Amino acid sequence: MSRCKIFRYAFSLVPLKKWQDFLIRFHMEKCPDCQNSLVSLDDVQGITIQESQCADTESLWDDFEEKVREAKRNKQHVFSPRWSWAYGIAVVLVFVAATIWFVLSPQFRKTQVEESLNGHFRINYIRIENEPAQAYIFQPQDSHMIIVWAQKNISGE
Amino acid sequence: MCKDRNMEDNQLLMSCLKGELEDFRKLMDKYRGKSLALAWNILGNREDAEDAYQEAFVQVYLNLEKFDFTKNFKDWFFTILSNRCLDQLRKRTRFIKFFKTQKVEFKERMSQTSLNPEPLPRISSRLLQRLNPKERLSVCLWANEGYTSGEIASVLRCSPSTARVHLFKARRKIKTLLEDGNVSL
Repeated sequence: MSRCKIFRYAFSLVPLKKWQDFLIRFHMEKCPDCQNSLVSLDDVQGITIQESQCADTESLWDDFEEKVREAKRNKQHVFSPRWSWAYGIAVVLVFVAATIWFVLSPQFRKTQVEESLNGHFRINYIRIENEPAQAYIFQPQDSHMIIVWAQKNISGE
Repeated sequence: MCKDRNMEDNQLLMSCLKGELEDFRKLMDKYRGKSLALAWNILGNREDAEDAYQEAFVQVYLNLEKFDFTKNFKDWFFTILSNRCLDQLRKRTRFIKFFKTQKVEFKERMSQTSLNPEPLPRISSRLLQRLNPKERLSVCLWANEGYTSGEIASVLRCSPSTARVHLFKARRKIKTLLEDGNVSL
């Protein structure tokens, strides 16, 4: 019997309810001691209220129709928001606010300007006095300024 | 026998759907004893049991068109009734907590409301109140209605394995309480 108590204690430590239920059921179905520790059907019937004890109850039909009308009225008029809805709406609002904040932030705009510069600034070739020239492009760190240096090709180089 | 009962229930339900209120009354009267006994066992007092019974039937009436005629009406109704009972127990717990926190003359108020369980026909029924609601429900369905763990599971909306565990625990607790003599019969 004490062995079963240890088992029961061990089962109560199992984190998942389904596993716990499975272990309890498995043990109780196999263990004769545990089977003996269950109350019999007759004893349970002796302690529960039986149908016959409610036989003297009067019909509860009288105010039933009124209750149905009341329930219909409540069903039509009462809007009962659920917590899950409130939670969902709150999440959406937070997401929208975060998106707006991010789009309006200077950091985001700066990134966009840099991207447009990277995307559009391009020099295919530079000619000086109808001859191809050498070009150097220089952008100082943390600046949007771009310096283009063009120089005539010196013959022999 | 069970199929005959199903047929009879289905016929009554069909005519209720056509608007025959008298047949709905027959249905209510037919299940009055069983459902009051079940609710009384769970809630521990007659007034609350009658309220739960009426509310469950109101819910049945409003959702008649959702009933699946291939299934057993009794199981469907017991599911609704047990949910009403569990809701009432939850409300009762909240109510008690509220009064305790408000420090109102708790005992005085409790004696005036139906929340104070009236003396039950058998003192031993107090024993049932020591079980948790799902264990109470399982053991009552098993003892009074002869339900199997599968049928209890369909009422409780859980797996048969879980229902069996509720039943095991309930039966073990009752036996222990009876043996310890904590509850006098």
